[in-house]
Amino acid sequence: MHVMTLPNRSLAFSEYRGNSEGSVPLEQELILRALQGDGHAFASLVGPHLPLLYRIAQRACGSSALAEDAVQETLALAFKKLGSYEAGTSLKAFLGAIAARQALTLLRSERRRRRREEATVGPEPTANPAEQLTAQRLAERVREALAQMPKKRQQVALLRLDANLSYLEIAQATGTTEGSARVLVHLVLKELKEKLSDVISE
Amino acid sequence: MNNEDEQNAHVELRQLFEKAGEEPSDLQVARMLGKARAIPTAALERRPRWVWLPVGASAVLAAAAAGFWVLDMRGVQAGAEVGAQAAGVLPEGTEHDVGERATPNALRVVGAGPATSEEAEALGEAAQVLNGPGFAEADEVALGAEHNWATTDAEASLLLVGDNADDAELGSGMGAEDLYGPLSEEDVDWWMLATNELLGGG
Repeated sequence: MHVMTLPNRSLAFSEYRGNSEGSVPLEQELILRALQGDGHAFASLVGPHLPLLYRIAQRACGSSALAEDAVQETLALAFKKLGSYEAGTSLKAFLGAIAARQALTLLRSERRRRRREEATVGPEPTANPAEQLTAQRLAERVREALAQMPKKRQQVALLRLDANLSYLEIAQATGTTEGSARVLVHLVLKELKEKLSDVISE
Repeated sequence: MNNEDEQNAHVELRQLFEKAGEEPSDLQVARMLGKARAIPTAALERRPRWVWLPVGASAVLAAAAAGFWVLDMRGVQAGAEVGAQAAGVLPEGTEHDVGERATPNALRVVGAGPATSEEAEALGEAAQVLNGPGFAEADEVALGAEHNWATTDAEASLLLVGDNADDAELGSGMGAEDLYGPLSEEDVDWWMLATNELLGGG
């Protein structure tokens, strides 16, 4: 059996961004080495997916500093569960699922924090809606719309629209069949479109 | 919503999510990578709590065993000290003598009263024996041996019956008649005889 030897160095930054789909033996080797405590191997594994994890976390908490911490927590959790990951299935879906679950917690706490702030300060005065729809306001609207949905749908929305996972990958990440994932995505898109129709039309 | 609508909704929502989302900067990705590299080493260094369970359990058992041993040794020492004290206080042979003479008759006084004239005589002796200030409990009979052996105070010895009526140990098996004297005529005769002898009336 041919055993692939890996250089004992972390990959260059450009390599992380460009090569998101590694071959199965390479991935297997990296997982084994990571489980033995090789930090470089772990970084090589998760590196290509960091932007995705960051997007999901940032969508949920709305703060870049918090998002970085959330990514760190997601990676720590992913390392714990790495033994249960089957090489060859989608690592993107594996990490995305963990990130989405983490994001739900973040969304909940963010919502609670906003309620508390509104209770003490009071709602901001609404001026011209067109002026207020900056990227930040837009992000808040999306977050609010997500927070009003059931958990499973929130997760699917993040996996489909932020992580851009396929139906099969969403099925793997959420532990359902591809058919169920397809139906879920359909329902999620419909609901989100209704909730954000005013923002989409602009 | 048909397939085409769903496609459109997907495209529109993805654009919205991109507009409202935030991509990590190169610096942020580099920072997250650096943190990711440290995760395997940190996770492997941190032992799970259950690893310490056998060690903790052994320590608790050892401490408990030591505690029992210390208590046991203290008990033995205390017993030895009491024995030494008793041996030092009592003259040789007294302990046995007092026990033999005092205990059965004393119980008889408190209990049903003397049965024969010989016993009534013995009661007088026993009353003398028990006429000590230290005789609060039956256990202290031996210690009471040093007090007033020669005194023949019949009244005090009769009072002793009343004093000890409160004592739970001696009072066990007592009826109301024991406290207030004999109830039948035969018992009255008995009682009179014994009392006369005790008071020296003959």
